[in-house]
Amino acid sequence: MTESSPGIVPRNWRDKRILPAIILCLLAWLTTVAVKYDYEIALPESRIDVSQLLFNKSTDRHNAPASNFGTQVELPYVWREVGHATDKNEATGWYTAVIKLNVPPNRLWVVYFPNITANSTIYLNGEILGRGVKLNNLLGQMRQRPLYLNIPNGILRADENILQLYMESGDEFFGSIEPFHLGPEESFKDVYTQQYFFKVMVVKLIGGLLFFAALATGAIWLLRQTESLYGWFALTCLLWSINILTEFLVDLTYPMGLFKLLFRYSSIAFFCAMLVIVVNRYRNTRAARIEWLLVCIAAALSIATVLLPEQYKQAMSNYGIGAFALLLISYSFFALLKNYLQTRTTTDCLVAYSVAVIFFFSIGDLQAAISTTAEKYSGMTAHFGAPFFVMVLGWKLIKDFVTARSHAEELNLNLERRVAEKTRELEESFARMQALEKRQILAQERDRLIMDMHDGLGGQLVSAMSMLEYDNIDRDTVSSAIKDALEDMRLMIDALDPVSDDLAMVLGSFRQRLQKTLQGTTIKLNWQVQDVPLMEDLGPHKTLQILRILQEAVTNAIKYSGASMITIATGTEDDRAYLMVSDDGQGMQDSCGKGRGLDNMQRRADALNARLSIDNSSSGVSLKLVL
Amino acid sequence: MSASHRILIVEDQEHTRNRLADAIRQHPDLDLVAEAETVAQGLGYLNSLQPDVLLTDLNLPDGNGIELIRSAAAGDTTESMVITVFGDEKHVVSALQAGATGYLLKDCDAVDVSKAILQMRGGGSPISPSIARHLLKHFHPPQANLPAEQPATPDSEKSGPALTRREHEVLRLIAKGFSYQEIAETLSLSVHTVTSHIKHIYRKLAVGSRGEAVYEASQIGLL
Repeated sequence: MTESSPGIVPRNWRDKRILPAIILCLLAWLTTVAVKYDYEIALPESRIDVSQLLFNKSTDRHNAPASNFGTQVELPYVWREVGHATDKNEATGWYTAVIKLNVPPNRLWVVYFPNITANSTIYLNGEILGRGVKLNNLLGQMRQRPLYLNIPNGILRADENILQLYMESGDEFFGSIEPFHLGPEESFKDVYTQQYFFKVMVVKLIGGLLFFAALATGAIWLLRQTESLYGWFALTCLLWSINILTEFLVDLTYPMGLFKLLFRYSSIAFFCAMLVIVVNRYRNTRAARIEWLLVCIAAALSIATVLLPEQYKQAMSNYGIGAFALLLISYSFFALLKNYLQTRTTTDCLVAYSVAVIFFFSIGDLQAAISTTAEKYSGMTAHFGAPFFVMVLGWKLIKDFVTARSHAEELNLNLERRVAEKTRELEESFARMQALEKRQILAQERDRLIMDMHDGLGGQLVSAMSMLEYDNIDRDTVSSAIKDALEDMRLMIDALDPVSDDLAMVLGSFRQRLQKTLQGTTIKLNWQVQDVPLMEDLGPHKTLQILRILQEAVTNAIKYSGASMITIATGTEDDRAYLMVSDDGQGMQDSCGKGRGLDNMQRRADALNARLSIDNSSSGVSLKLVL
Repeated sequence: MSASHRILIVEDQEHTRNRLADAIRQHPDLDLVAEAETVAQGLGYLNSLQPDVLLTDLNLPDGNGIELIRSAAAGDTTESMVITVFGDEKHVVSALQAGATGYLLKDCDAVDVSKAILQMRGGGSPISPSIARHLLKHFHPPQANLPAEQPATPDSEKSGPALTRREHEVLRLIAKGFSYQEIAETLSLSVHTVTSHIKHIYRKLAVGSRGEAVYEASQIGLL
């Protein structure tokens, strides 16, 4: 049945703000005190109480009966009880009171009715003093409003004064009148003002508060519909404010029955169903079927109240809707109480308390509704439950909203901080890796250079030095050895050229030097270098190996072949680049063939993963390196 | 002595300076007018003696030989040659940009020294395959669809001005080690035309660099 819904705000957030809780409790107390004070207000001493009257049933609202005609009644008096008749003519009548004064008052007097519960017109000595609610609409919705009428100078006279009231009960078919008073204006002005404030102004304010709360939380829900608690709370407040609004509607153009269905009773029934949904959302409990059932029952009760025969309507609204309301409000209270006992947070306590307040004031209203005495409507207090409820739950919702925002901000900050941290870590590790890579590249390059130097230049210098250690060595031999070393150094520099992936380009410098070497000889150079595809994996080391093979081959050709022409060619064969050195000499003798020079060339070719083939004949040597 | 070429050497390494000086003295058509060891000295001789040829190293104790080359180029009476080591084509190209028209390798023999100087005085433009390779990197490659003599529109990737397709071809062939004669045969040109292409390329190098002179000067620490 229950499932926890994932929310941004954890449900059990501990409320550390005790101060707002105290303020709210104080407000609740003040409300209660004010209400109590309202009904115990002392009336001024200089007054005439009217409690003995003559009553005549009559539908003639214009012609008052004679002042001595009618049944003697004592106020409070119920002239019409609920469900006794459906005839509206039975619900109207005249009250006549005779007020005796020794002398006419020398200041302004008033008539003051603490509660006027029916439409009425008041006459004094044949003059109209005023009206309660407009008579022609048969509407007494503000059933507890006070009435305060000035008595114009000269109307009150010494001896007997005739005060007459024409009254119509609304279609609730209940007619009653409570004791009322005459007295000086200054004595009753304050009483009236205070009573008007509590019975009219406060109710209007509460209605406005509910409507505003509905608008505010409804707007939040519209913008963020996953927050269903806000939506249900808005609906609850709206229904309650509609219920209160019905107290102030005076001029209505549609039938009373429909009006009551749509607003008065149905708003109570639906309010209670919504309250349960709000409580469920608040506790993160979901009971969709039961909630639907409650909404259906509320609808059924509302419709039944309208469709039932007139004499059962009041009973239906009282016992049907009343019991439904009481049941749901008490369920809500116990659910919230249970919730509080689990969480023990101040907010949960206050929310449970606010529903208890609603329950407390609603009991009073239900009592009034069921009551058949004349004080029936004097205890209408349910709206006093609203402010506390709205404040507590509104506070909780606002707090959730703010907490969620702060939480989101905190998350964002955390995220930013973590992103910054990660960025820094990445930068650091990148720098570390770069440094490492650089060290590795340098180490590799160093190894390669050492290897390459030992393989050529170094060896040549060592042999040149060892030559110098022999006594009978001639300068030319040493010079030639050092020239070889220099030549090898040049090859190394050539191999380091960034264009070393282009074999034809690499050979350019070689050719220039070779040309110079051949200047003093009769040997001609046939340069047949053609473009070969770029070899991206060639690199300085492999390039150097190729150049050294070439150098060796050319040196051999110059020294031993006796050739008149050396041909150096490059080209492509079966998608592979090749380098060829050939001469037109007498070919290699067995004694010098397969010497150390050739071994070296073969070794270098193997290291290159290249194929070295030598074509040796009496008409010359042709050496081919296929890469 | 009217045919004699007056030469100033600026070189701080004594051994190299003496070798070059000897090589020049040995040749009847060459006249060594002064030897300097620093940029300051060199500038002094350059202004007072107005030599025909300046031979200068780049790394000098008090500055860079480029300064001397630039000063000589501004005067319009002195031709400059840079003294360099093998494998240092980058600096040769810088010197060429500054206005030098030749270069000498430190380890070349006496015959080569006098030959290179006389060749330059005769209007020749010395170039090696590795310098050609550096120049290829410096200039914009020409666009394939343009006529051979029209330079390409420069793009942003390379700093230098554009070469014509013909100049580019000549440079590529030099880089591959072909001689002027072979290039002339390959491209069906005269050797003289090939030489003039090289001169054009040198001129473009100097022209293209003028705008960058200030930047380059600051790079090498002159400004």
